[in-house]
Amino acid sequence: MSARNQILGNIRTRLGRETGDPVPVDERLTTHPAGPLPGRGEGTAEELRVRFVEMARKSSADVEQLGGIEELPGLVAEICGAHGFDAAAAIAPDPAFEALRWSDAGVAVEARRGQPDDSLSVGHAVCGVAETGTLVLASGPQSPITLSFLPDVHVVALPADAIVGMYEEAWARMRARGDMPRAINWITGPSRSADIEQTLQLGAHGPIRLVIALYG
Amino acid sequence: MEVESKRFKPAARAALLDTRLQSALENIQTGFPGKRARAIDGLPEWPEVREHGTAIRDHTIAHLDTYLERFERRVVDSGGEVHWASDPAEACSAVAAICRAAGARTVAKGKSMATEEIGLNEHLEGEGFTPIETDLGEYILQLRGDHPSHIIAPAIHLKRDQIYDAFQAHHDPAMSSNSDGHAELQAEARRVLRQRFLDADVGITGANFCIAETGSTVIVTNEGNGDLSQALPRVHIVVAGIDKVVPTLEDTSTLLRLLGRSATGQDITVYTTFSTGPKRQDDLDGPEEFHVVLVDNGRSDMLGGELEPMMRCIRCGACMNHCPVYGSVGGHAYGWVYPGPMGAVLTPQMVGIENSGDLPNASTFCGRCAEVCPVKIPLPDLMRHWREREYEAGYQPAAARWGIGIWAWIARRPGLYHRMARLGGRALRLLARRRGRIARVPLAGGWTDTRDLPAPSSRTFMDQWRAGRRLH
Repeated sequence: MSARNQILGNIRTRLGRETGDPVPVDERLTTHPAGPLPGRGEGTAEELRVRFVEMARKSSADVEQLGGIEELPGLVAEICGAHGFDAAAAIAPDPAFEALRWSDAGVAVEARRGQPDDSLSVGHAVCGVAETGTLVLASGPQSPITLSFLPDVHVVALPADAIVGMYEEAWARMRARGDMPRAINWITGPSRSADIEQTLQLGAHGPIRLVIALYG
Repeated sequence: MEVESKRFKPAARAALLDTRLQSALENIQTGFPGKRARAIDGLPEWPEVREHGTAIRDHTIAHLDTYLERFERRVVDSGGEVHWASDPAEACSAVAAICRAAGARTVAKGKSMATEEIGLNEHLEGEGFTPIETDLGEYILQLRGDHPSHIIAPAIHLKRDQIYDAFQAHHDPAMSSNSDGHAELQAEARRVLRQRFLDADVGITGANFCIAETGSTVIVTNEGNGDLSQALPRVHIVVAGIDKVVPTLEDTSTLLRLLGRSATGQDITVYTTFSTGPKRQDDLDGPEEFHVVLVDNGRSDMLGGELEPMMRCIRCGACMNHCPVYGSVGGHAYGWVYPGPMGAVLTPQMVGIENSGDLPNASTFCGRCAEVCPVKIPLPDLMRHWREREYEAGYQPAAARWGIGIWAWIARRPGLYHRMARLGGRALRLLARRRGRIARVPLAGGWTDTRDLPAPSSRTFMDQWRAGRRLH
């Protein structure tokens, strides 16, 4: 007997029935009901924006408020300067990013996936979740996930009107976009580890700094 | 990993005398419980979320067969492959076969207790592959030839100087930071492992959840190693127990609200990653192949019986973080992959009660584990279940069986019991003389070797009760 039949057979025997009961299963999968929702994910757009910023900062992310996305190159130039990096960035191959006036800010950009020796990358989030200050990124041709994990500093652009209250609303947005992308990355703060004597250190394998560029 | 749970008693004794281990264990007692309590205070809806999370797990368990079938279908729909394994040998062969087909040499591994459970590293090494642990804690353990002592903080038993020594012994001096500071050690591991990720042909991760609605697997990490393990190599293999399946994205969200807070006291871990199938057309990165190996290894046998609630477990580690026994002896004394209260229930199921009878007995039944469990597993009741099975099967030592048998015989005869209690009390008072304490009691050296026994009152409780001294 194949392992599959053996495992499924044993589950049914132990549960005292001969076949599965697909009705309650498929109903739940189709209706995907939400559980109890946290009150901290409720509020006006302005309240949620404030909570998102507060929670993101609690997770050690930096949040920079921009008037518009056109200010992004200037912010990136500033960050490169502060860290002593060359004024260069790997940016997500998104036409909206590529159209920005990077050369005016003196930043050399390449639109591509992340590389192991990248110092700084710029990506974009589908939404931000106020309940925990979490960014939701979706992989795709315009959003390679290596940009989120290989560089030392990760800059994520997020329009203020893409802030939602809780995870369930983020899923509603993802469902509206269509099929699941290969990877959805929830990112809450920069990489860290406490594996050495339970002492928290930022920058384990992923970025040591996460900058959220909130615009609009 | 060999099962050494039979050696619990000598291992626990050695652990109690190991001053370095004791100092490392203090980090658990002082850290985790407080962080968890503060995180839960920040979510006033915690009781409702916990109740709902428990209900989600029970519903899924009741329909586990169908949810597994739905999950499998969605993985296949998204271009992935599912492999089923009844036992560790089948699981290891499935992984090795995928590695061989991929022409792999180096395998980068994210943290996964399921792969510890099936002994995957030893198997892969035997087949000529080089598995590299990439979680910082797991990596340190691999260099030392050591095993995890905690399910979420694997190297919690180690001090900094031991980690420094391991790096000095194994790293190229050119990579060495020559410092034992926390930041320098972590940076050194990052430098060394970065190259390992790039060399790897296959990445293996575990799964915190497998979502039936979408065919996605979920991992939660703080380091980002699990993501590099699936972003850089050509093939991604997920190894997961069959208990990991969850119906929907909404259900997963509820469980995620419980997991981080219970485990490390974080509202959510830094990275929560939902992986669905291999890279899509026009994607610039991601694996070309996506495999899920579903492992049973005794899990399905827990269904329909007293142990079924254990299938709810989401592997947060809160039970061990709050356990006075775990906090005193550490994880290695438990002698296998899963330590603490959850290990005292799972280990007998997976390796046999005849090999692990001391584990369910290594509990004071104080009940803290059940109190903090985010999915309300009645861990003391399940440990009691194993104590009963152990007794029935006659695995306890003869002296213990005889002692309990004699006590039970007397306890069923109240007249005799009361006379014996009176006699015993008088004898102990004689032994105590005027000091009121007894330094040595025949046959009770286990107690009096390390502390005095207080002398009992001059009259037994029952005598006092009969005499009408009912004070309360």
